[in-house]
Amino acid sequence: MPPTKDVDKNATDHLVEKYIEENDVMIFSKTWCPYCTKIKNALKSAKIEFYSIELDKMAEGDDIQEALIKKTEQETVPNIFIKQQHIGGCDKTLAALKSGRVAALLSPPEPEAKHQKLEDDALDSYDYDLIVIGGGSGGLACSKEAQSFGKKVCVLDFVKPTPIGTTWGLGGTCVNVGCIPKKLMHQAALIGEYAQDATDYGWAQLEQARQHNWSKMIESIQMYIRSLNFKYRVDLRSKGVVYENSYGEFVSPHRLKITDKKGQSKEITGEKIVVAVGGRPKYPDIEGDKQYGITSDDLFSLKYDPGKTIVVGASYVALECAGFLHGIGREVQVFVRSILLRGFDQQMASKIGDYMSAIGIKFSHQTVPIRLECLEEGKPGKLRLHYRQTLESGEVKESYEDCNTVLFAIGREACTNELHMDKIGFDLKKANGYKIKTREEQSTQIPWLYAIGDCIDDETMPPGQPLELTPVAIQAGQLLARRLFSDSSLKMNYYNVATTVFTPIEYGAIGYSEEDALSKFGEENIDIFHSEFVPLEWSICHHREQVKNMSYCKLIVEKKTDRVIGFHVLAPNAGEITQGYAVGMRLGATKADFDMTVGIHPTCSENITTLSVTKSSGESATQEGC
Amino acid sequence: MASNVSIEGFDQLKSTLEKYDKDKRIFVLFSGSKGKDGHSWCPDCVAAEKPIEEAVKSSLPSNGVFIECFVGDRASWKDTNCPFRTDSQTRLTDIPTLVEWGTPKRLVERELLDTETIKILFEED
Repeated sequence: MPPTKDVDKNATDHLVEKYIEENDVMIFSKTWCPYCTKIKNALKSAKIEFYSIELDKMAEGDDIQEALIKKTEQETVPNIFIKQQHIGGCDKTLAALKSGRVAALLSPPEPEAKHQKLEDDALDSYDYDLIVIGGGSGGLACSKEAQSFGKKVCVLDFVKPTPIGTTWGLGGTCVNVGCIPKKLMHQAALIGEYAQDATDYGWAQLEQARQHNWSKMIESIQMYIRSLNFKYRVDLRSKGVVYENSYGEFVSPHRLKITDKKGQSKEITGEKIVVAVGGRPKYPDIEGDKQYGITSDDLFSLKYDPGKTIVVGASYVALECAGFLHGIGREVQVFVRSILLRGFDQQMASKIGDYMSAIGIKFSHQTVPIRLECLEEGKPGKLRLHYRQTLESGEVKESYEDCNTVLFAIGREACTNELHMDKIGFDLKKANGYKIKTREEQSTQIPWLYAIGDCIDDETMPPGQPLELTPVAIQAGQLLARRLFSDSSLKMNYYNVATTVFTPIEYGAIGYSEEDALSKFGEENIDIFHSEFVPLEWSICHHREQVKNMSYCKLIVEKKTDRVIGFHVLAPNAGEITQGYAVGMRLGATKADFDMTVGIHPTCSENITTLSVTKSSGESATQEGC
Repeated sequence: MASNVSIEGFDQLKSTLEKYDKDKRIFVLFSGSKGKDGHSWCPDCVAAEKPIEEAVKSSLPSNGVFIECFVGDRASWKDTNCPFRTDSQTRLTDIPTLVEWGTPKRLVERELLDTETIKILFEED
């Protein structure tokens, strides 16, 4: 060949190399070629940028095509390179898009340690970028956030009925059998109390208020819950998240078998899977428990008045339920095995117990149920709960108590047991309530598996703190979705999460309990400021005489830094009071900050800004004046 | 199959609803009245006609009744005193609106352009 032509050919080779080097996605194309158009459109839909040159419109077009044939042995256009790797024509590139190979080539390399198993478990392609098992607070938040990044997401939600057949719609525990109905029933009870306050405020005696119609309350509450179930369905649909009302079980890595209400199954695969199945109430494993007893899963939609109720348990669920049942006029007894509110500040827990006793709720301490018998069928029926109680003398007595309803609220268990996680090499231990161990919401055993909400035990959680909360699941779910599908690196912070127990007198808390602060910092390194106070609104109410002095607040302060590390308030509306202080705690507020914050008068909350008496001083904590 | 009922005006709505048993699920579509040319003055209502028809045909429950209730001409609807707007049981703010009577469930405007979304309304609780 004449020398000039050789030089030309080399120049063309260099030109081709330059195009391939300089562009992550390089398409050698022709304007009239339908396959070129097809692949360009596909890349545009996937929001992938590319650079293309039209060989039919270029002087050196033919030369370039020859150079490409030499380089790739491909004679046709489109001829496509991604990150300098030759992919092929339209069909091969479409396949590479579908399998995730294109994304993998274009995204930065992932840290090795976490993904060693990926090579063994990875599939060629997946039905979904993300499958979320569980349509509760965490699951819905995570799925919607993931979809906002353009991912293909599927949410599975299925409610296995309770032993007595109760079931509910989309939305999880909070919406259906947790926070929402609980707060509404708590409000129903508070209204009963306000009705009793009414006379002192000049209202004519509200006799009717003491007649509470259970069915009417259930009807109002269930109507509202159904509107939420509906809203969530429409919302998922409008956001393009696929919803399957099916129960998911693992079959193999990335693969789930999902079964609907009719028993029909199919299989789906997800590149990443988030388990957000939450928990369900435990039964005590005694004769008659599932046959005649109910749990919170049943209480909020109970079609008949529960009548006289024995609540077994001293969890916040037990105390909140006992509280509102009493508040709406039902006779209530609480059977406590050992302590109230395990995991919460015990001084506050015992104050709650004192308040509830003072308003007429009977507590039976050191009491364990042994057998539940049905004396008479009915709605409600008549039940007999046999129990064993250890008296103060040490003597153990066995006896029974008759009632209409027995509500078990002895704790909850994660619903991970029936997911067949053994099929993906997972080991769930009962000791941990079947919770999935995670680190920053990623499974410590399986890299493509994530989990959020009540069903997890995360390494970054402060031990012993109550964190099975809707807002925790929601935020963890959203942040996880952002870390997985965008370049966010924000992690969930499980510290200083504000909580409230909605017992008849509410209890709000942020940060350390007194016990945890003492054990972590030592008595000499903390100060505890506290005060009793009387809610102004109660001070003129005769029926509140016995309990009006029971409101209380305390701040735990680390001496070295003056930082407030524990916040506790027992008062009406403690939930509303506590939220704002959580912002302060997050910013590292000191006792001096609290003191320099001018209080709002007259409120209960202002007491928290004027604390001066410490526990160690031995001075009286009763409020003086005003 | 369930009956298909068309009514005009607020009074007719109330009297029609009284006729049905408690075991029926009643779905009411509120839309702009049709003019002499047979078309509604409300373009959103016209756009929703096909998706709604499809959903009713395929998924209206066996105990379901589908009622089409015309709220009047443009002027009547735009009037702030329009009974459909003011009555506590309807409280309409937009048309078309599809509700399950006696429940808080409702779909409005754009939501009615998607047959699958409408089917969600028809599902059993």
